[in-house]
Amino acid sequence: MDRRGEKDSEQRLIERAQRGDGTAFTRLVELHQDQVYRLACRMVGEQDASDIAQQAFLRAWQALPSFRRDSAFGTWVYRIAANLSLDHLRKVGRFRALPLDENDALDEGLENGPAEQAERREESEAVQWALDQLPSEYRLVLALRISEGLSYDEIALQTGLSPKTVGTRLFRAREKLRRLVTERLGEVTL
Amino acid sequence: VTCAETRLLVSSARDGEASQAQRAVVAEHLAGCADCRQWVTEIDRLEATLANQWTPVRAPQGFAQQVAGRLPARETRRATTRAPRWMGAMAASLLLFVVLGVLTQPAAVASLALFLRQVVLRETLPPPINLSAPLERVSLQEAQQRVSWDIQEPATLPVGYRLVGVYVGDIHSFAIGSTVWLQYARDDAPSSPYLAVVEVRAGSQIDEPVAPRHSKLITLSEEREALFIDGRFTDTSPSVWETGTLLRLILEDEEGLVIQLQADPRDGWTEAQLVEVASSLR
Repeated sequence: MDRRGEKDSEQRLIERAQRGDGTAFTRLVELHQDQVYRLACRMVGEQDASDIAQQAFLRAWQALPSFRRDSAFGTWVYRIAANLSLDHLRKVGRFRALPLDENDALDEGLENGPAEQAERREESEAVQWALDQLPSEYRLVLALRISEGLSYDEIALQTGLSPKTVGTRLFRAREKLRRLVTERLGEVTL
Repeated sequence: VTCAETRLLVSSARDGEASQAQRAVVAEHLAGCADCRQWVTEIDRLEATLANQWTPVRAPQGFAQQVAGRLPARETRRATTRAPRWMGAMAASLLLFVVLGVLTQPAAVASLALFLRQVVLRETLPPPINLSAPLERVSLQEAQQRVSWDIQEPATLPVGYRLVGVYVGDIHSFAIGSTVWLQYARDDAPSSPYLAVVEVRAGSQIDEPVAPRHSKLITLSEEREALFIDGRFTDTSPSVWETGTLLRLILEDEEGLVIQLQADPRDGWTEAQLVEVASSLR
């Protein structure tokens, strides 16, 4: 089936699901579950990802009658999952707010000396630690870009940012992550 | 360009979002800046680690079925707490509203069965509607013989309105028996302002979404309430809630008889008028 055909078919599933057809909705879940689950994994970790992803689809089901179809279903449910992930991080105290002035983000406590070579495992742990320290919205754009391979335009749709801001935020996210990892590895090896 | 500007461009270039000219600027800067080359090396390494860490994952086995098992009855956020049968009536309205478009155009009556089939497939929930007997035009007496309840008619109508058509048919899968459609208008012309009274005995629940804040319960008398709905979901893609084209007032009695009054506000119909007519049903 070509993409147009797939889209038409998804449209029909959406129409049926909007009228309360649970089977059609389950098919929609099957079409988008991997993407939604993966985003939840990147944001909250594997332990809570399944619950967050399920919640995202359940919210979508409830809100489906008012879904206006001016965005793709996948984009819509993805955005729900992103927001639920951020809410979850807030709830469990793991949310990292963006600095008031994003320019300051690059200058916080990052003076711990030069990076040193580390074993791959240490580096991997450092990256994980750094991801947890990273402002949650930075983590979101990184996940959407690096894990999901979305374009700036697509990320802009998900997040409500302009594509230009997406680019700037990704740059800041990378730089912040790099400094955090450097800092962490510096601590570990001291 | 500065080192900071270059690094921003490097970041965009990595994402395939930099122009050729921008990439040339980056290359030129990197050729002469060891710090930025080191920065690029670190970012490369970091992203390699990240990609390694973020290996592709898939939803767990049985995920969709788990979601399906948790699907609650959909909240339509209507202003009522009773209701399964209201929902049935609402589904009826959407269907019958479309049918009306045919009934008021004489030339189209011949294709009613086909039209109904299409509408039904699109609008109703399984189990499928019984298509063996689409709506047919009958006399009021014939309609009365076909149904188990006393057909109710409004005693109060706007000046000039009269009964111009009675239709009956086993068209609703959720109904017990036939649906009766009473068409009131000033004359038979398709463009004539109308009031429809649709009567059906509901046997099961059908859900029909209503946009938030567009429905409310109205008390007609001590023992009788009605659900008022302003608008409808359009049959277009995307479907949107459209107000100003359809008002509905739905009543239900103890035995599951659902009576729906519907009219077009562009004909001057208001909520108060529908309530007045509904209160006069006998």
